[in-house]
Amino acid sequence: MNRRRRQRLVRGTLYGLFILAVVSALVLADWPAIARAFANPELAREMFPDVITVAARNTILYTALSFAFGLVGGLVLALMKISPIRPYRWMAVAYIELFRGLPALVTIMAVGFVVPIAFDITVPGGVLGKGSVALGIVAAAYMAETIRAGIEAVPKGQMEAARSLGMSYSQAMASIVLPQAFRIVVPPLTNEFVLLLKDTSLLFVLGTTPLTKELFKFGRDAMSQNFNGTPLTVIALVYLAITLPLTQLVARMERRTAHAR
Amino acid sequence: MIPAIEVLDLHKSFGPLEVLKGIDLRVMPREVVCVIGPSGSGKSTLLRCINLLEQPTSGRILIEGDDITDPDADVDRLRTRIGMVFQQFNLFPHLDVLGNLTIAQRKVLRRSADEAEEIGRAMLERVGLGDKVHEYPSRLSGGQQQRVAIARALAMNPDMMLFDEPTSALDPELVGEVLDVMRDLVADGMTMVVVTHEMGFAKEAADRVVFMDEGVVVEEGPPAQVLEDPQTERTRRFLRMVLHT
Ligand SMILES: Nc1ncnc2c1ncn2[C@@H]1O[C@H](COP(=O)(O)OP(=O)(O)O)[C@@H](O)[C@H]1O
Ligand SMILES: [Mg+2]
Repeated sequence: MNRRRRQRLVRGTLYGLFILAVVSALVLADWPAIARAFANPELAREMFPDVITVAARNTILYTALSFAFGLVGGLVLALMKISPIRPYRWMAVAYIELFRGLPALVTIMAVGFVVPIAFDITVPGGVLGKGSVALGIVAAAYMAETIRAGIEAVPKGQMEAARSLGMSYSQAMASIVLPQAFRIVVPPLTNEFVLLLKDTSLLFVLGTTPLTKELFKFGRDAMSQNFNGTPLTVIALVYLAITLPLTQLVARMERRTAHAR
Repeated sequence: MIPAIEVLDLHKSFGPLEVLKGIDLRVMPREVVCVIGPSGSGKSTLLRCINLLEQPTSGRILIEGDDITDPDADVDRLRTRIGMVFQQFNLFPHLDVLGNLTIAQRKVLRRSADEAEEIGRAMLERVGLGDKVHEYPSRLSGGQQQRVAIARALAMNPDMMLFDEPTSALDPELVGEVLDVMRDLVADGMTMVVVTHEMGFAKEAADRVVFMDEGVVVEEGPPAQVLEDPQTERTRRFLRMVLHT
């Protein structure tokens, strides 16, 4: 048997096994039970409009504010990391390694419970304040690397041309280099936004009230009230309704820059 | 008269590699100096030291009598007196042509938007691109991009201009339009230091030609002497090589 025929045979077997697995899952699944436990139209209807007007709204609000904190922090860290001043670079590296190395949940708990006890200060703004500061701290560490890579992708001649015209380092950075760097990092930052959006599901540990519940907590409470999984299906669909357009947008942006090359 | 540029015993090393080994160069106002020499001889490094894009290892550089290498010097301010044109143009791709010409006028010279725009348009007319005001650089030919780069430097009203192989990245048919703009500058009495392989331009436009090799000035003098009656074997060898390719 030659190589190509063997490859075709292997691939064919794999497809066959895959289809078999899917079909048997569909056949063996207890569809009425699934429908009862996860697709109860009555229960799904009861979740509206709050799942949108309260839960999804809060999720987006937490995400947007965390993203804003993360962006500012990430930009500062990126500038520190490329700074000629060595202690700045060290501080940036320490920060980035620390918060990328810890589970986000640990940082959230620290901001929510350790900081108030240790320093006798509480981040204001309740769950919104504490939660988005905590997630912003984590996001800044990831975004710093993305933004730094974007800055370094701008040709060195850009900074030099700006300096040769008499601009200071910060003027050249702000009006020549960063605008070009941000164009480069829009797709990865959008991915970061999606990751953050999913991480807001961790904020329930801060103890949310009916008005500050985000999607996950909202769904979980509805599940335990009704002893039924339908709320899980509903919030999953709401998450996807938000994230899928964003990931599609990123894919389209990346295709476009690939074409431009 | 105070020299426009005075380079005194300039040394520059990159790590263990000594690229400039004691350069002395004086350029008087309205003088045009062409720097020639083989690739890797330190021509770009010399030019980049003059406006401190590279930090000299030792030596001094005076711009109209002001020491730009002095740690207390206002380098940003001094750089506005020195226009620079790069081999790769280095236009700002996120700004249109007029934006390229106005941004430094506004940020550095604090000119009003109207004034910067007026000067920008005038400079574009001067390089023959008055109709490209709102184009983006990526839509221009190499020759047009380099002319925009020259106009961008001129918009700062510099006292002198440095050119680092301004036509080397261009297709042959686009070299002429850039050299024409540079000839106009010469005619207007601009002080210029031009690193170039265009021997024709050097012959006709330069007051003085400087031949560099391996980090030193090997020979300098009027173009008729350096290019047609070179005094050293190294210069002769270089010229034979350039003229035969
Ligand atoms: N930033 C740098 N770091 C290390 N070496 C450099 C750097 N810039 C230039 N050089 C080296 O210095 C020498 C002179 O370069 P350059 O001034 O560009 O020469 P030229 O413009 O005459 O071709 C070359 O050997 C080059 O590799
Ligand atoms: Mg060079």
